[in-house]
Amino acid sequence: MRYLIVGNSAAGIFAAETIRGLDQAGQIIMVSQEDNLPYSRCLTSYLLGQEIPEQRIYIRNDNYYSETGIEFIGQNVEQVDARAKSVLLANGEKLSYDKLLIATGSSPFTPPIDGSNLEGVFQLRTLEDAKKIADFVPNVKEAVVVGAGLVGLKGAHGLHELGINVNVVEFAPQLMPLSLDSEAAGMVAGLLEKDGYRFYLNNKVVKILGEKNNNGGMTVSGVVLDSGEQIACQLVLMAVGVRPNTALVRDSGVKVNKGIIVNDRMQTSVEDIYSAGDVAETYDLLWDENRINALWPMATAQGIVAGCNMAGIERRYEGSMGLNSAVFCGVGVISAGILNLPDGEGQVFRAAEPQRNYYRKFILRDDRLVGMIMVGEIEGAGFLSALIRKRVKVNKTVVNQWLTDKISYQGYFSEGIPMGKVGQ
Amino acid sequence: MGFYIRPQVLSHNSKPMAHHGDMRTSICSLCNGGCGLKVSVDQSAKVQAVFGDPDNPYNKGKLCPKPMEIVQTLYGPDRVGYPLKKVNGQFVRISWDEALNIIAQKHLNYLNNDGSGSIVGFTSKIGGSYSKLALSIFSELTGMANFGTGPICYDSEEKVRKAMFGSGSASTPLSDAIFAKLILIIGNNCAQTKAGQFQWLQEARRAGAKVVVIDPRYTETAQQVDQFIQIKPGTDGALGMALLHLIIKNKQYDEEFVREKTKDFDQLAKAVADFTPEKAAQITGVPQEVIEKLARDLGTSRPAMLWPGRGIVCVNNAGSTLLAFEALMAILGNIGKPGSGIVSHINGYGKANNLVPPEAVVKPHRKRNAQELYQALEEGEIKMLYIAGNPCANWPDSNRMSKGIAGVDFVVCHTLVLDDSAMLADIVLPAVHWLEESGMQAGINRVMQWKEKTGEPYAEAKSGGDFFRQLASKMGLPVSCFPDNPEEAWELERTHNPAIVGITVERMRQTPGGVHYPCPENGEESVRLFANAVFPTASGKIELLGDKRVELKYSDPLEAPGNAGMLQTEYPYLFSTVKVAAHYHTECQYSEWARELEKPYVELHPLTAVELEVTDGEELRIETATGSLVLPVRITHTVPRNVLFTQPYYTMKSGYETLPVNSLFPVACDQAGGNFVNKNILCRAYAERRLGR
Amino acid sequence: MPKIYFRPERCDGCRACELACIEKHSQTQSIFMANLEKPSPQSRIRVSQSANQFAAVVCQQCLQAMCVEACMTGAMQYSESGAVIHDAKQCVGCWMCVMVCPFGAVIPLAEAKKAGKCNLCEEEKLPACVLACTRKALWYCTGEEYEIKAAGELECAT
Repeated sequence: MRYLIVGNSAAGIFAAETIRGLDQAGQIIMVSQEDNLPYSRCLTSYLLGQEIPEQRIYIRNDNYYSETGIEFIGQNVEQVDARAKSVLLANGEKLSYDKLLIATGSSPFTPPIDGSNLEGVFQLRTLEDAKKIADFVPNVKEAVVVGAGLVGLKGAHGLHELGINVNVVEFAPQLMPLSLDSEAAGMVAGLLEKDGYRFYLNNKVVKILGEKNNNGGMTVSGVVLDSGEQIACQLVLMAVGVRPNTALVRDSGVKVNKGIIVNDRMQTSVEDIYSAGDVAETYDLLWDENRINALWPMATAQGIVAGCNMAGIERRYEGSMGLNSAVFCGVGVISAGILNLPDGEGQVFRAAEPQRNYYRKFILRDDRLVGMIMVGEIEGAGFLSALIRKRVKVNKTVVNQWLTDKISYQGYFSEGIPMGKVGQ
Repeated sequence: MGFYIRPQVLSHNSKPMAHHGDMRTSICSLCNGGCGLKVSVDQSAKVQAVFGDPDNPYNKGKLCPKPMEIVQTLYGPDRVGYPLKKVNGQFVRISWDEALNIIAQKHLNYLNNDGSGSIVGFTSKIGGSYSKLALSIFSELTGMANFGTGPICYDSEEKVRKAMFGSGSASTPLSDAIFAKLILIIGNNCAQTKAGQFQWLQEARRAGAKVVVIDPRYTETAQQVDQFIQIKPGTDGALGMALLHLIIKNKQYDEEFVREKTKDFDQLAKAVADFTPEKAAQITGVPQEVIEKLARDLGTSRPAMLWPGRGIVCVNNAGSTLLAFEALMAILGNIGKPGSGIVSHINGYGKANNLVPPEAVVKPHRKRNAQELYQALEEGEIKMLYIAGNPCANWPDSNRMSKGIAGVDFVVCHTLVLDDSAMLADIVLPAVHWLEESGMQAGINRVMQWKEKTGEPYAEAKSGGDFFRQLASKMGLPVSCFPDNPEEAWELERTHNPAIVGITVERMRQTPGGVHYPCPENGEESVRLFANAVFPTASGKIELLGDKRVELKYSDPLEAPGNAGMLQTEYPYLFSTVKVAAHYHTECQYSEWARELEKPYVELHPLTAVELEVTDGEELRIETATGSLVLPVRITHTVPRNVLFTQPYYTMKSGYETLPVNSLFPVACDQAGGNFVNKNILCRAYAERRLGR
Repeated sequence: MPKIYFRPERCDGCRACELACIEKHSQTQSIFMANLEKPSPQSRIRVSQSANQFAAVVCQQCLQAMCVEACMTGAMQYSESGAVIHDAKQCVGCWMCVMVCPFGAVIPLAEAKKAGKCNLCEEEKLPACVLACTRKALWYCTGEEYEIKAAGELECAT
């Protein structure tokens, strides 16, 4: 059996390791545009902020490919030919496969803003991006981060760690609109502002200003906001969102919506082609529809499911859900599931103590926990995310206790405790 | 907040000590605590029971079990009532006269043929002030060298303190604790060992003192104080040096006192210059923050007291450790003031001089230290021994000691019971119990109390005082040098020692709780030493680095005497003995109550127990390079990992029938040249599984 | 592979397991010094009470561990013997593992900025908590051994 895996990040390597575990003899070929050892994209901002040395960004050891028997090719895959069961590499080479996994992930989306091609405009996704920014920052005192999602804030944190003044511009009226509610976002904003961040909410960058540099090119000198305000800066970090890298499957018959559509075995619409990770549009168990949840834990879980099915062991994916964890100024923030239900639907439990950076919110629908936010004391969050994932009926008195008490696993076996049988 | 106790007025509330009906008053002479006793006696003056004396202002009726157990041993089956002579390996009763004749003849014989150095005394339990004085007169007249409790208990402590302050004695009464702001207790489980006096610490806490216990074990003392600092065994010296480092670095010492009253401060500062709290935290296992906090507390809490225990004295690096902590007290100016100073059971009050006319004094012709004694015994240099004590159990490498004693030509043992050492004697003499002998008893509160005898001597028992005088008479020595009774002995001692000349028997009898010493001719008591900040050293100041025989340099317990050169791979654990309330040396083991209260055991941390594959109650064989022993296991979280703790009391010739634990300890002394080591010795251990169990 | 099992009907909530765990994870290896250390050591086993029932929560060494899947740094991984192990050097304290562990058995060590989990006291013959449990509510055994022991227990109970 000849397995071809495109992409060497979370989904790719977990799939490859799964396959290797199930099929010792199979040939595993991994192709990736990035010619290096598997590393964690989530750590690029840590690398940028010099919180970790470069070797710690790699999540597998130096001899990873040879030890696991993976043939690695550092090339971009241009095109998938489903009929011929082969892929075309950027160097013109063709690689055939028996089973193909597309785990190409996503790329930052660059909005069409005037001046976004100037020197000093960056995005932060890959190791290379981080290194490029690191090379550039010695001349930077002031930076603008466009987008206050998790990626934007982590990038802003990295720059802040280097002693750069950070201005964050966000289109929405709050930080992290996709993973926090306004109250928690306000708490995070307060923390960061105390640390010296400046936020421009309800705002967007309409133009990036430039000036001539020594090389004859144009370098960033500032941005103009929707409000007309100008911010002088030497660096702009674009973090407005990502788009799945689906270009390689065009004309191959693989169905694509926003991402590559897969079933609960990670199979695409074309036989023997699987997809997993940020590029795949998978079942979201809370929204009950296919969605992209571009999250590390989802990517690895999907990679494992894909690997199993590719190696001939049937295994079904139980579904994704939104799940985020971040730390701001030492305060842990975790959110999961659906955070904003339409008005009148469901029930919300909330407790806030802003003076000690403590916030909890639980969202119930049909007596089931569907979403939660925890700021401050986050121990035991996993138990709640498991309740959400398993769609277990919960007792409202217990939920009320969670607002203030330490959350601890109460067992699947005790009376009066939320857990029933899975799927009940 | 004020105090709740005023010791100055205590005497007004208590009645003078007097015999009251058949309830008599005495002073416990076991641990030098000086607890007051009430002894109930029957019509024939036999002791019925022993209680704490509620009128004694120092122990206030509180008492540990040790003196209470005595009633079972006074007339018990083990007590020796008559002189015995060993004939063909069996003891037969002889008269005192016969015994004295034999001893006198033998003594003169060895003295003439082999010199005074061939006769040695093990006299740790010789008796009260009367017997002690008689022994010292006898020794001066015959040139006999004596080994008392020093080498097995306090020599290092006394030597270091004497070198620094000019006196090895405690500088402060324990009762001063109520004036202290901070009390540092190191390696000292006084809640067990000084149970009758421990309430002073509780009163001190009620009066606002912070009591800090530093110990590897979570002892009964640690459980009842403000702060417990668990430290790796044997590393206290590092903590002391880091505290010195911090106090000096933060300039928290008493500058004036240091300038005026101490010597060698600069050298001291240099010696601890690189002893940072980080370094000490590494060595001691005490978090750096805790060390820094303790230094801050010491720097800001004055007066403060120090009460070191055997845990830093009977160890192989005692010298530098004691030096560090006592220098710490000195530079903080915690000396001589109320509520400051060093508490100890060493109650040195000087020696009586010129008891013997100079022409009659005989010097020992050989000087030996405690370590050299073993070889001298083995090589037959020593021909005759006087034993009043139990060296076969209390001295290290007990097997070797027993063999050594067994090989001596002629052994006299003056004893209460037929213990392990008495069994090796040629002549056994019945000794009086301390309850049966009057005398002066000093205590932990730096007072001298007069102890009246409460019972008549058992059978033909004689005190050391009578014995040595009568022996001297048989030997033709000047009997006139000896006192005839305890009162006379005290009179003699007092008048020949200017430090205590003001303390008469009558005064002691009249003063509840006793008279503080020194008390010179003018009759003024000194509650604490050095109140005038004059120190009897060469410089007249505190010599912070002592007499330089001990260096202020941390020494690793694993590389110090007794452990040096041993492979930790072979001996991965440490072995230590620790004390319990129900026993004192070997003498309480003849009481059934004590045997009921305490059985031998070895304390293990649960994880050590798992490592050794033993559970509670199972037997563990412990092996050091010197010896081995089997003990039942007691698992407890109160002890650190990899350290085995047991008790030092039990012997073969007792109800316990146990090999003395000291047979596992090497003949090694701390570098201060003092104590034998009975803690922190490398050992290995494994489960002892016997067939049929 | 042996792991730690919990028998709720035997637990009386004494929390000796927590203390033993704190001692084991302290620098000083001293239960008495542990609360004075910085960063303060934390128990990897947690006892909670609900009504009159106690539950001790400790890493279950999941066969497919969500913490391993969620860890974005590769710090969480399986050992050769099958245990879930945590490489504290690699950990950046993002709390992803805390977020997903269905037992709440990964402890956020906020001061150290590292996740903490039970390592089965790998260098010991028995985990400290199991040893400390006088009521034998914690068992350290393999799944098969657990089945046999538990079955025997039920027989005795009826």
